[in-house]
Amino acid sequence: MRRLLVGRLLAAPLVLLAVSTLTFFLMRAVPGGPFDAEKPLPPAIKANIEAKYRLNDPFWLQYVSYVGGALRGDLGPSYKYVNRSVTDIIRAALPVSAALGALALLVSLILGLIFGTLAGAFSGTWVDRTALFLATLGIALPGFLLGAVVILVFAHNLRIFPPALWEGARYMILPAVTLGIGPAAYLARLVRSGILETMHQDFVRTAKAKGLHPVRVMLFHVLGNALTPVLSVLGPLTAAFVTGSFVVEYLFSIPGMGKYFVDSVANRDYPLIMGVTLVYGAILYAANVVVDILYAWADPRVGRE
Amino acid sequence: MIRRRGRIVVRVYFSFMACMVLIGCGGVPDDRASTLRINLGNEPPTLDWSLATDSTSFVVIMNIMEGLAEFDEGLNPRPNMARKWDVSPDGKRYVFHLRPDAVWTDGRPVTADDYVYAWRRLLDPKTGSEYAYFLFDVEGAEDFNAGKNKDPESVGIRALSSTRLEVRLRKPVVFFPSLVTFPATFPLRRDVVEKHGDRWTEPENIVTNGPFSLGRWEHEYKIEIVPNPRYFGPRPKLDRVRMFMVRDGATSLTLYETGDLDVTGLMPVAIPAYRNRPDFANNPVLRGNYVAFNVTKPPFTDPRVRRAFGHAIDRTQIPPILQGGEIATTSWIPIGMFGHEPSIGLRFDPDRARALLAEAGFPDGQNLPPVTMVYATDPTSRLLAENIQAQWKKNLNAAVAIDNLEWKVFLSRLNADAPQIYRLGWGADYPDPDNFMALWTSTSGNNRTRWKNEAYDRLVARGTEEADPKRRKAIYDEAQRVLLEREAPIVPVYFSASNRLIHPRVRGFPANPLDLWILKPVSLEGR
Repeated sequence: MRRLLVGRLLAAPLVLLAVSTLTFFLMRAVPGGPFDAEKPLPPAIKANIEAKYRLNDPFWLQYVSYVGGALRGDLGPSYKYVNRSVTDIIRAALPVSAALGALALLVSLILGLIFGTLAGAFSGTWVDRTALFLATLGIALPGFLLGAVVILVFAHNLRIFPPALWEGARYMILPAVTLGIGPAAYLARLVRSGILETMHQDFVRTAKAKGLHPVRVMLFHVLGNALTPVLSVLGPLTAAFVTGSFVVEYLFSIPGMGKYFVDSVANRDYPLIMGVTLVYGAILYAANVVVDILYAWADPRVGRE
Repeated sequence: MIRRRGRIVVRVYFSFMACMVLIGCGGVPDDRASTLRINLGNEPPTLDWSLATDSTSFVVIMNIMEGLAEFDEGLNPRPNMARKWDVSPDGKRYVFHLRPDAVWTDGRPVTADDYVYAWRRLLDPKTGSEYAYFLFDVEGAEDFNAGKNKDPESVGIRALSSTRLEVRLRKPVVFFPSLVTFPATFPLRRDVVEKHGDRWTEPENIVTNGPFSLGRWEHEYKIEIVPNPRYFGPRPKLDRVRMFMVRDGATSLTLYETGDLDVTGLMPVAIPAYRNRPDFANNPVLRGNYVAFNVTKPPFTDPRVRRAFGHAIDRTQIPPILQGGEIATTSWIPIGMFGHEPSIGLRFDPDRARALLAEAGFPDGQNLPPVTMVYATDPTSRLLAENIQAQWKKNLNAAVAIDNLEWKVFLSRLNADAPQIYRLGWGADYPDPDNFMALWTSTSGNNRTRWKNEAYDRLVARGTEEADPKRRKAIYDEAQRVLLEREAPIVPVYFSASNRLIHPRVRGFPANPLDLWILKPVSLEGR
């Protein structure tokens, strides 16, 4: 396991360098610049601005200078949010997205486990078919539609929850549910298939033959083993949740990081594009490493392999 | 063993996630009775008034800062931070007399030096200000900004004393007092900017001189402004203004319906449902929308073709389609601005349109080369483009293809090689016809039509210098006729309007053509 950890840590800088290089040159290839506006700037003023942000330098020099800054923790200034650095922007937005993402992940895991277990335990019955139907619905419904529906029903009509904003715990419920439903459905299907596979294992048959209660067999013999595939998707899922969702943050007016993934590209805010991509890349990588380690720790056979 | 470790992993994971959730929670303020809650719509890109260029930033800045002049109800500049101003007989020298009782939020007086610093900073190439050109009529300003002259003293602005500010212009500019209502010309405190650098606009650092001060700024979420106890004028009637940044129009509307917002903008699609309610408010704004031709690309090299396409658009069809309270127009200087003349422009006249097209060699639309109209991807532009495309087909038998591009790609295309026809708009920076008419001069960077006309350029130049309103109006009428009726490089289609819902408890919420939300006269019922 130690070798696994060392290997992953050594590879991290290379992965992030590859991500930053690819992003840097891809974003520059997109037509339109950060200072193209409906009201075009006089050439002298545009030249001043480009000089201020060193956009007149050759690409390679801009790239080297960016990487140098990033290594020192300086992700550069935002072109759109004039007096703010990309580091400041991410520092303010990431905790918000992370908090919402954490709650959404809890929602996903709880719903996914309950529905998946029920579907697996009652395979072939109406319970299974209902759970599968709901899971398919959850996967198929796009976030913007689900968000609009929950706002309409629970905020506008029933007035149980606030429709949007970010003022306290109550304000997190609807966005977390909106964010968590899709992955919950995916997790439910994973858990179901894991349970169906485990149910036919010898040790389960033995447990049943010993006369254990079916609930006990399910909870203490089947479920623990059926969850292994879930652990493997937790890495990318955590990274996606923690870095925010454009749709959910837009709908619920949440000051998180998700919106920057889209806005920074629309604004051609190059440093912000780089910043959010690198942060996402780093979190995704770290989450996968953590999951790999947990996987190996929870199941020592994997560590030995 | 495996199961026990698995359970530990699950517990640790859930505990971590619960901590993350708690970190993100905050308290719910309960001060609705005394707080006006409005929707800014977006994060202001900056509150540095030397660098701000967008309406969102201006909403905040215009409430925490005040300039030498302000607009009255008729959009005429009147003294504000300047008690009065003197103009030399040749119209090229202004002396502004500052109020002696105006102070910054930290108690220090607002002096002429604060203006000198602010204007030099605006013009300094290192600042990289987009609106530096606002002051290009000041002597030496353009050369200083372009780096041709590195001496800031060469710019025609000087503090004659702590309360007297002299400005020398390179030519008479009759609307100069309108320019000093604009945020780019507001004063700045050198010590604050230099001490805090990029962070000088954060609430703990910023000093301002307006009726409100910046209380709180949670980026991408909300801004709170509170009355400035040191403001020289009457104290605002609101205890607090909370400006949320809700981007989704439907969400904003829901927040209004649930009582979480006092004022919200309305999406066009929602207007029919709210139009007849007492809390619905609509007013035209100084924004013109037009279709433009690249006059270097056939068949629009011929003015007859351009005029034919202009005559073939029935503008009255547009407002019912867009549903945003728009006002159909054939003229360019907007309603509410000096110089507006609705009788100018190409009327809808399909017979005349067909005749002009035939005269140009395209009878019944025959032999027309392939024509494409390009617009930026958004629902309003699409509706407009589809309607105009259908009208051209019906009235001219002209098959025009339409194409849309992502906003920045669209702008990049316009700047590099404008298509035969494109659709765009223009919003006023200051309420003077020069701001609209100068767009189409030969040297204007905004003129992507490539149209050049010396007579038009001369008329617009004369318009900036003519002090007599009657003669000035006649000059702009003539310029509009050249632009819209004889040459027609652009065809105005409609003026935009602002649509919003204002809760009945809010009194005096401003509605003006510049769409400026000056909140100092606003009050809440029962307060």
